[in-house]
Amino acid sequence: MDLDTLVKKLSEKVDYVEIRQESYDGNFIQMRNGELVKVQMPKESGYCIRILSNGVWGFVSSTDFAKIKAMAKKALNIVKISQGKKIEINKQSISGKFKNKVKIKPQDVSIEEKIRFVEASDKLLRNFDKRIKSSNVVYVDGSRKKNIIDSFGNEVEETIYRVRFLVSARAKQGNIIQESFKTYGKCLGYETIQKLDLENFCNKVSSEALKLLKAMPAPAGRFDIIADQELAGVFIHEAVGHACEADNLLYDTTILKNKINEKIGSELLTVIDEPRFPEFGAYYVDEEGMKAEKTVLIDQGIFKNFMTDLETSTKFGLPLTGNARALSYDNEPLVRMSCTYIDNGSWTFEEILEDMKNGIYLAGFKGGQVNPAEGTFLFTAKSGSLIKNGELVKKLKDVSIGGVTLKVLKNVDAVANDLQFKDGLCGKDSQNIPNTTGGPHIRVRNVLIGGR
Amino acid sequence: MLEKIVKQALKKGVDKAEVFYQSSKNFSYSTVKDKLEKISSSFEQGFGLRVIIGKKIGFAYTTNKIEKLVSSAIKICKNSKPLELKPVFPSKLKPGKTVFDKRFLNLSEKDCHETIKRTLNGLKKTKARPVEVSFSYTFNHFSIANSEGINCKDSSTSVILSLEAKVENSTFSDFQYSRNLDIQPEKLGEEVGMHAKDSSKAKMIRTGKEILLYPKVFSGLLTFTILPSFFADNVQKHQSLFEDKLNKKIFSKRITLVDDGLMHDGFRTFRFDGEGATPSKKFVVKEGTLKTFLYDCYTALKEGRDTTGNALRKNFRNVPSISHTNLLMKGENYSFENLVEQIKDGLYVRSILGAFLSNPTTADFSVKLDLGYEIKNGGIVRPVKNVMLAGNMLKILERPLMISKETLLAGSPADASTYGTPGQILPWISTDLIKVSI
Repeated sequence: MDLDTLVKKLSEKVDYVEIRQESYDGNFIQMRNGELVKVQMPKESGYCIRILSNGVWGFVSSTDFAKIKAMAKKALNIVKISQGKKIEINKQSISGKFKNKVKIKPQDVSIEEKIRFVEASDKLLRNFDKRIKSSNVVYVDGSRKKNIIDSFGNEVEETIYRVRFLVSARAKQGNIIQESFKTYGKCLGYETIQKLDLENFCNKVSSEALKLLKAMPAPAGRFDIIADQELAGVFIHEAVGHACEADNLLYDTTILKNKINEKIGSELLTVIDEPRFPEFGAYYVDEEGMKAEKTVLIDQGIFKNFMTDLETSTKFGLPLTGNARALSYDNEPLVRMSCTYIDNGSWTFEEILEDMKNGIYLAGFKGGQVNPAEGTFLFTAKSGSLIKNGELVKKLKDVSIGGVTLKVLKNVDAVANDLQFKDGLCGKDSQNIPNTTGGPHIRVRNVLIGGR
Repeated sequence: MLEKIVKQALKKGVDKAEVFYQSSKNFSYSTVKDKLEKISSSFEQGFGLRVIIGKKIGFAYTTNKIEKLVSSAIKICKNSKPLELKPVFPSKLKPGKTVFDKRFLNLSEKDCHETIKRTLNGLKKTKARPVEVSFSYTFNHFSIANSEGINCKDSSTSVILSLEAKVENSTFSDFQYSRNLDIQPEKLGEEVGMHAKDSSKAKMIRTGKEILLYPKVFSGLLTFTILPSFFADNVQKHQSLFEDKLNKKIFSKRITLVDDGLMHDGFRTFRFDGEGATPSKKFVVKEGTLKTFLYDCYTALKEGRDTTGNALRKNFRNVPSISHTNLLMKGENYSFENLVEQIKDGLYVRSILGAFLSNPTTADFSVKLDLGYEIKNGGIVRPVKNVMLAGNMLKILERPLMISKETLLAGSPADASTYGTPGQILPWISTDLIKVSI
C-alpha cells in the first residue's frame, strides 16, 4: 500500500493524519588529547504516524518500514479511548522540495580528510602552551532528509546539510584547572570548515583557558552588567524564547499568557525568531510540513507573538509560525525556537563600557536552565571581568547569573549595534535540537550574580 | 544472527568482533493539564558492531542496513588511530541478575489511564492544578555476542511517572522511576501538590549557612562534580580529581560509596555490562578512603587488571563508556527529622536549577534554588526560592555535618528508558560550606 492511500484510509476515521519519513547520514569524530576516541558514520532511517482524533494525539514510530500498516492500526487503536472534542486543524496547502545550497556536501569528503582536520585542531590546542594539559575536539556533520505527507494532500520534502565543530582546552597550573571551549556550526557544506582560520580559532580557546587560571572567583551579589553577544543571545533564548513557545499556553506554564501587546521589557529590546540560513538552527519547513516564518516576539519592549504549531495556532487563534520541530522520526514535534536574537540597537560596545563606573562584564555561555511558568532563569557565563571606571580590570571565573525574567528585561538600558550569532543545541523533553541564538552587547542594571 | 555477524567480520580479516543488538518498545501516556491527550508507542531496533584490528577499534551501527554494517565498522576501524595497546573484549561471563517485571506485559490502556487518574487524585487533595502527568514504560531486549565466546541475552523493564503541578504562577515537578511496577501515584500527586503550593508562597530570603540537601539535589551536584573523577578513563587522561589518590583519604571517614551491579531490583542491574563483562559489587570509597576506580576492559588492560564491569551502553547507537552501576552511599543513624532538628539557622534545599553547569575539574558548583525551606532552631519555618547557592562538593564531602539513615533512588530520569542516569541511592546530607546569595 502506498503512503498516499494509507493516509487517505486513515483520514476517513480520524480528524488529521501526518506521516513523516526520515533518513539521516552523518559523521562524528572526536579526538581527546591526541587520541581518536570516537569515529562514527551513523546511518538511520525510520518513520512516524501522527494522528489527531477528538482532541487526542496518537503517535507511533518505528524503524521497520515493513510493518507500517500494522503501526497505522496501532495508531488508530490508541486514540480510540478519546472522548474529547474535535479540533479543526486549518492547514494551508504547501508542497515542494527544499534543500540548502552547499558547495561541498559533507558526505563527499572522505572520513580521512575529516580526521586530519580534527588532528590538526587537536595539535594546535595542545601545542599552544605547556600548561595546556588536555584537549577535546569534535567534528560532526549530517544530512537529514524528511518527507511529510498529510490528510490535506500536502507533501513536502526537505534536506538540510549541517556541520559543527567544537573545541575545548584545559589548562593547569599548580592545583588550578580551568577549561575554555568554542563552537562553530552552520547549515552549510564542508566548504565552511575549509574556510575556517583554524589557528586563530584554536589559539583563542587555549589562550582563554590560560587567562582563566589567573581569574578570581566572581563576587556574589547584585551588579550592573554588560553581557557579550553570545551571552545576550542565550539570555533571550532561555529567559524569553521558551516563554514564547505557545505549547506553554496548553499547560498554562508561561508568564506571557494574556500579555500580547503589553510592554514587558525595555523599549530598546526587539527580539526575533527567524530560521535564517546559514545559521545552525535554520530550516525551510517544520516537522508538520509548515513553512518556517520570521516571527517578531518582542517589538521595542512590547510582546507581540508566540511561536506556534498547528494545535496551538488553532486552539488559541494565533498566527501559524511554523515552529513545530522534532529531533528525529521517533520524536513528536514540539514548539521550538530556530534562530532567536536581540536585534541591533544604537550604542557601540565602547560607549556602553565607558559609561560604567562599576560592574561586571560577562562573556560567553556555558549552560543554562529556565522555568517558563515562574519566569526565572539561571545560566553560567564562560568568564567575566570586573568593570571599574569604564575599563575591564580583572578576569573572573565561575560567574552565574540568575533572576526573574520580566524584571531583568525591564532593566536593559543599552543595546549595542554589533549583533552576532552563535550555534547551539537546545533541550526540551529530551530532544536536543540544532539552534541559534544571537544578540549584540547589552547592559542590564541590578542583576543577581552567584559567586563565592 | 549475532554470531553470524561476528563470523562475517572475522572472515573479513578483523582480529576480534562484538555485536550488540537491542530492540526497544516504549508506551507513553501524557496529559495536557488533567486530560489525557497524547498517547504514543514507539518501536526501534538496531545493531552496534565493534571490530578490532591490531591496536585499532572501530564502531558502526545500523537500524536496518545489516549488509553494510561490517564494511562500515571495518572502514572506521582502519581510519582510527592505533591505541596504546591492543584492545580486548571479555572472554568469560558470569551473568548477573536481571529485573523484568511481567506485570508490565499485562498493562492495558485502561490501567495506564487509571494510573494517571490516581496521580491526579493525589494532587486534588492539595488544590494544586495539574500541568502535565506522564506515564511511560519500556521493554528492552538486548543481546551481545563476541569473538571470544561471549553470547548472552537480557530483557528489562522500566517505568517513569512524572508530574508537574501549579499553584498561581509557581510550578513544581518530580518523578518516580523504577524497574518494577512499584510506583505510588497518589503519593507523587500529594507531594508535588504540596511543594507547588509552598513554591507559590516562597520568597527570596537570605538564610543561615547550615544547608540540608535532598537526595536528588545531592545526586545532581555529585553527578556533575565528583563522579566523573571515579571513571578510569578520566584518571588515565589526567582529568580526575583523584589521580594518585588510590588508597588515600579523599573524603570524611563517614563517607562510604559502593558500586553494586548485582543489586536486587537495582535501576542499573543487568545480566552483563555494556561489553558483556560480569557485573560486580565493590567499595569505591570505604570510610573516606578511595579503594578503586571504575574500569572497562581497555582501561583495565592498561593497568594490568580485570574490568570492574562498569562499561555502560546507552543503546545500540553508542559505544560503551564507563559509568557507575547502582551507586549507594551508606547513611548514618539519623532520621530526616534529626537532621532538621540540628539546624539552628539554615536551609533545606528541595530542588535546584543548573547542577549540570558545575565544574568537574574543580568540583565547584553555583546553582539556583528552585524550592527550599528556611530552618530556624530545628524547625521548618517558611518556603524559600531563587537564591543562589555556591560551594565545592569535594570540601563538603571532606567535612559533612550530618547524614541520614534513609536513602532515596536519585538521578535525572532523562533517558531512563535506556541505561539512563537514575542509579544513585543517596541519603540526605547537611553542610555548612555552601554560600547563599540573594
